[in-house]
Amino acid sequence: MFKKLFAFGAKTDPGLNEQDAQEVSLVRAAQQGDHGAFRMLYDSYHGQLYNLTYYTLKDSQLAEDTLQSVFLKIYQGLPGYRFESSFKTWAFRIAVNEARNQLRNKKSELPLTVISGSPQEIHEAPGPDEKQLLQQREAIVRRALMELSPKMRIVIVLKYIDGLSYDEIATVLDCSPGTVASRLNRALEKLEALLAPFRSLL
Amino acid sequence: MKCLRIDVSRKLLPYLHGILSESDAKKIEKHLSRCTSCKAKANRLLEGDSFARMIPAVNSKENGWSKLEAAISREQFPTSRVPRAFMRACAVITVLSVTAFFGWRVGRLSAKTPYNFESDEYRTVAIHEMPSNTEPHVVTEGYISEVRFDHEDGDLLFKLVENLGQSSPFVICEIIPPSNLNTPAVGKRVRVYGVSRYDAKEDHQWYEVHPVVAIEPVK
Repeated sequence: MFKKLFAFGAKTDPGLNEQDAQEVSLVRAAQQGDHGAFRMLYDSYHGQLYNLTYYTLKDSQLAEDTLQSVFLKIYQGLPGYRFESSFKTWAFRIAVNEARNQLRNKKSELPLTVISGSPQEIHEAPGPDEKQLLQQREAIVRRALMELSPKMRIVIVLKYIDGLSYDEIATVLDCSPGTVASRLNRALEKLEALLAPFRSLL
Repeated sequence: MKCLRIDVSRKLLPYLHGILSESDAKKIEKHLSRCTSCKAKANRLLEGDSFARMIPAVNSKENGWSKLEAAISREQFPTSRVPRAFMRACAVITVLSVTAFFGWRVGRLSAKTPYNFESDEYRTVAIHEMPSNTEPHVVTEGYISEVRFDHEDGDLLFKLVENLGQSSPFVICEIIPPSNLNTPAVGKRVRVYGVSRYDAKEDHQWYEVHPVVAIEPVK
């Protein structure tokens, strides 16, 4: 595979690490129409971008459909991609924009306490085993995240689930790293306020 | 009392994440040692940070690649940007060529396929089993009851039914250009290979084999 990739004469920046250089080679191969290379890029980013679309849209089916549009847009946009930002931030930017477009028709959901029960109700429920406890914890945290505004959800997912740096998030969201810090600040304070009553369960 | 040092407030989270320069970090530390308001805020942020780290990653349940592959099979992969007018002219020529091609071959049926495919990768699914199918690549068999040409996107559509004279159950099969599959004739029994999908449009809501990658006549 890589012999084939390098046969395209992909030029790489000597400052890039090996992983970045491989990605540049893959992108260049995909730009030449190599579906195998595009498949590898798809496999690399499918999981991360699914998390972004899922937590932004709060709907697994809509997230799947949106992800499909995202990758189709990436595919269609490849010929015009000029490596001005990393492929990763470019792909995430497309995903954020697509998810925001899909959000317009979404209805609001029930508040956290209605869905997960009040802390007292949860305390009184029969004692769950470890697996159930973990599922319960995850459900509580997930629901709290869903309570945040889309802007806050997006920045939290980019930072904590997809593991992007401040600079990468700033590129994806087209803002300064300071704005990223400020949004994260507000999002974490809100998350803390929502989950503080559930602290003993987490 | 609330602290009015906005400069500190802005740098609090980058400080907690360890990405501030050494000199900035020292300034924040010094301020935190004497400001209860900022210290309380830092504690809230740390708590929020620990909650955020508990958010579970989710996994997609669908095999999205098959769908994507089907979608991009419609695309002509351009290796460079070309003028829109040229693209438009190409599209018109393609549609005209496909129309002429399908017109010329109407009524003929063969097993030719433009795709290199392994028939054993396709799961046999009866038309009435389509709603419960989860496999992306299917082969299904039936009689062609209708053939239509979609002038909007140049696709050729045909309806496949289990029994002639009965309109359902059915599956809609779409041949997308460019293709050298011959137009199937109404009344023929065929085996169709392709990608299974559901068309959820309000006026459709039916199962499809789309795109069709091969057609075999059944005697």
